[in-house]
Amino acid sequence: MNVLTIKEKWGMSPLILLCSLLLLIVVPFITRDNFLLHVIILANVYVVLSAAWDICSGYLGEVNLGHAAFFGLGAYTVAYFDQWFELSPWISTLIGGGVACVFSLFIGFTSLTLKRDYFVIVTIAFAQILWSIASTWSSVTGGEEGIRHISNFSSKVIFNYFFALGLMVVCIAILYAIVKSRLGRILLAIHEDEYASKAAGLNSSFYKILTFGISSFLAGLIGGFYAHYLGIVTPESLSLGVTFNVMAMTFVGGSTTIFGPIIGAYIITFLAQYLYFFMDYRLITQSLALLLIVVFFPGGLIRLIFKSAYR
Amino acid sequence: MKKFLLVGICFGLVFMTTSLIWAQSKELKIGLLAPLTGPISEGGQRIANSIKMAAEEINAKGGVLGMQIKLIEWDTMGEPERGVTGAKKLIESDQVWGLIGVYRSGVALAVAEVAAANKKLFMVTDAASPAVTGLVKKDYDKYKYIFRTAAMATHFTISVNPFVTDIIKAKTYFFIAENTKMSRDIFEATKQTFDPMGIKCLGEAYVDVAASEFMGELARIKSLKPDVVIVHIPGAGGVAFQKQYYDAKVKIPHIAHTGVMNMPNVVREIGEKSNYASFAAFCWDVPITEKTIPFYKNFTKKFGYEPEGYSDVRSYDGMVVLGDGIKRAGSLDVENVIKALEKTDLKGVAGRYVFDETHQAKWGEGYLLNIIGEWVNGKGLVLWPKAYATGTYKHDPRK
Amino acid sequence: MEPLQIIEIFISGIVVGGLYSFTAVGMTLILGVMRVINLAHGSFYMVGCFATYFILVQAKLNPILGLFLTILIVFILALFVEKLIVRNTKTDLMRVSVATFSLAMLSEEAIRIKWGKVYRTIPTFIPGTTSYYGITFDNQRLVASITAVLVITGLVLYIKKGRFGRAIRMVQQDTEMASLLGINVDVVNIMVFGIGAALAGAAAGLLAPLYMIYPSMGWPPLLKCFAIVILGGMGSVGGTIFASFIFGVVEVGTAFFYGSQWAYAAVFLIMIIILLIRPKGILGKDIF
Repeated sequence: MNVLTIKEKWGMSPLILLCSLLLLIVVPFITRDNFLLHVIILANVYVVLSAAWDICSGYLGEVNLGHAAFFGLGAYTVAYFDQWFELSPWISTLIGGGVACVFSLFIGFTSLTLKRDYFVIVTIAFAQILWSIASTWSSVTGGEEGIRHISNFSSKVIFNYFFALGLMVVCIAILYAIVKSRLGRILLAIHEDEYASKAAGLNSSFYKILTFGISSFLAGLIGGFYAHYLGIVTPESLSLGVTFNVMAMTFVGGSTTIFGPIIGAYIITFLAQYLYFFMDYRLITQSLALLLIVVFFPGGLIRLIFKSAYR
Repeated sequence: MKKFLLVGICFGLVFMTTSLIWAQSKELKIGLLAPLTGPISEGGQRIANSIKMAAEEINAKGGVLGMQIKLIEWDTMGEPERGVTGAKKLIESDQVWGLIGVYRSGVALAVAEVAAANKKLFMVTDAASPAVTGLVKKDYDKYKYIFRTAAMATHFTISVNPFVTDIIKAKTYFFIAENTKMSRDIFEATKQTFDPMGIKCLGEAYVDVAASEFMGELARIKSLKPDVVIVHIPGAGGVAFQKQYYDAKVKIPHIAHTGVMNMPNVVREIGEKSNYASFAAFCWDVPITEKTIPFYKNFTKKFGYEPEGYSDVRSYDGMVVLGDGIKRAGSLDVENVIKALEKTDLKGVAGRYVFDETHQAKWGEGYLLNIIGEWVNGKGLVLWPKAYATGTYKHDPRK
Repeated sequence: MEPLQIIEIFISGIVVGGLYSFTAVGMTLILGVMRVINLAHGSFYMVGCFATYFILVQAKLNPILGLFLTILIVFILALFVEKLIVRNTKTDLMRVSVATFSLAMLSEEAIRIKWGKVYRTIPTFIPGTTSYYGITFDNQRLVASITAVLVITGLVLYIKKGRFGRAIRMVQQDTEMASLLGINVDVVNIMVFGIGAALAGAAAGLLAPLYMIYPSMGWPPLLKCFAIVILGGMGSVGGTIFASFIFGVVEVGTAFFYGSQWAYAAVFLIMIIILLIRPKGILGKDIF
């Protein structure tokens, strides 16, 4: 019945997916190195962030340069709910995602109905406003010192590790389902030619806002996890630096794919943490690499490696 | 198949880097955390350079307990998350004996948690929040691993007091600062000091850290006419502020907390517009101890710019104090070193180091002080304390 | 609150606004004609400042010569940037945003590694101050502001009347028609990009002595320019100039009454509100 092979249908050999997942599951049992586990957790956080960014900026084409804002919103929400209500971390993380989503809906209503360039600028502006408030309104946000002593899911690294892994898998599964469904095709259509889509009867604004909302919800969700895991939240999570990392990861891996950001997130996170002898030159290498890739290899690594599955 | 191999190789490489077993070495590994890149790297590089210089000098004299100090750097970029990651990596992967450095209290606090959880000594050399040593006070057993040679926010406040009370004998003041939590801590301490003395605050202003236009604030200062203006804009804005202050002919005596206005190389480049600006510096090239002037000479020769007296001197001294503590403890046992450090009485570059019960390097007469100076025609006149004074305060004479 | 103070604030605001207009107009040109969001615009300004530093402080050249050199350096750099990067990526909003953003980060880090270890500043080269009726201004700032307005007026005239200016306007309105009429669109684009960046470079040459010079100094101007450009209408030079003045007055006024700590956030809030009510901006034409 399936004319396509499984590989072509999925976009990535399921064997590789399965092996990678198995490897990740097995890692904490074969090494005592907590730092490695910490790096993998960070990588997973960025995987979710990048894949969520990709669906809005890559698939839909509405470039969201304020992605960090929603990540940080989730993190700060968790910090506040933790302080005020002492909720279970599970619930506060979900609320974190929700708050981020609500803000995104507001931003979306105002700017997604306008031309694409406005959205880019508004999202940068939004992120900068939040960052500015978080850094300066120290009586409420703790200023540059942030908020500390946030409760965590567990003090055991292993629990956090598997939680992050599980969360990552769930989020990727959600995004993947969206991409492969009718919604995914609609997004691509709107990206390609919004007027034609409208003419064909699609309510493009609705789908744009929906996508942006999903993207921000996931960002806020993983932001909430991040806050619980690190135990602190600071204005840095709202900064351009986070968005820049996300952009780099998505592009290096390959945008407008879901698996590209995964590859990109792992590569860049590991390089950033392990190339410590390279310390002074890390940022410059990353930005140079990103620049070269965007200009000359816009497809990203995933299209270089898996040529057959992607255009 | 090819792709499977690729994935396998990637993970294999990662494993290799982490599974290396560190052989027993005759090195004392200390993790150095500082923002080496990023927006605050100017300060971070100073911290790193000073600590490295101190370590080299210690090693040249035979090291600590026969072991050579090996510094392992980590770039925090001023972000607490990177601080936490770095601390974990240094402690778990590199197996460092202790941590030193850090810039920004947010990072310091985050790293302190990791250090305390792993029972590793952490010498804080540039983070001013009272919360850092507040941890030691709150839970001694958990946080006793944290020591600080850096100055606290309250010390910043006190450092300008002699200017207000003795030199200008002011009755009113205006406070303008960067919009950070540290500034607010400093302002709180300022009010607590001056209110009982009857010195009134006529107003406060907070400027954005990236601000470069101060016409509005300057107009307000001119209209309020305070006796003295206290400035806490340690970063780039401080230069713009001084230039505009001069141009607007505000002419009210003003003093800047330690920051960009006590860096001789910057003031040289400001030129004429730096005149009549006063500053408080935590160290200066006057003979505070016998180590001070040699340090200033060596530092300038080695790095090409003068020390500014805070992040560099305190970091250098921090490394020296740590080495001294380990030496006196006679062993690497952290508990012994902590006890030895608590008994520290060492003459560093900035003065005499003695820790109080919250592991803060003590401030005051006979311990660590600051100097107050004024820039006149490119020269830094020392106004206070009298022991090192090279001149008296000059008012802005322009009409 | 004496009326003199209000006048002082107002005029200060106008002067400050004039300073901003230089970079803002550069951005609006690039936005309007090429439809490119140049996130590296702040970097051109930053590089210009460093160039000015080395020319004036290290090489100790005459300031006017220094200004021209800085403009030239930034202009040439911009030509390269356009040819190598912008041309390839401007068709895709995502690519051009990411490309210019990473260029901005790259240039910031490169400068930081080479020259960022110390804070730097430049002594002002137009010394002295001018006072009228008790309001004092330093001459450097006055001259910079007036120069900005003059230069931009000249530019506007040139675009309206000059031959090349007509070419620019044609490309802006209908690129296909322009190329059919024989205009080399690529050349127009590269020149516009160069001019836009050169304006930032000119701003650098005149403004650098007022502030301190450090590698991440490009971001605040970039973001303020966005706010101004949106306020005035993307692509409209006149609107942008007008918006710059409003912006300057609001900034100085807010600082006087409330303290500038809220200025940054407030600016963007205003921007979002404008987008809600009147996305075209004050004088803008919705050109995209």
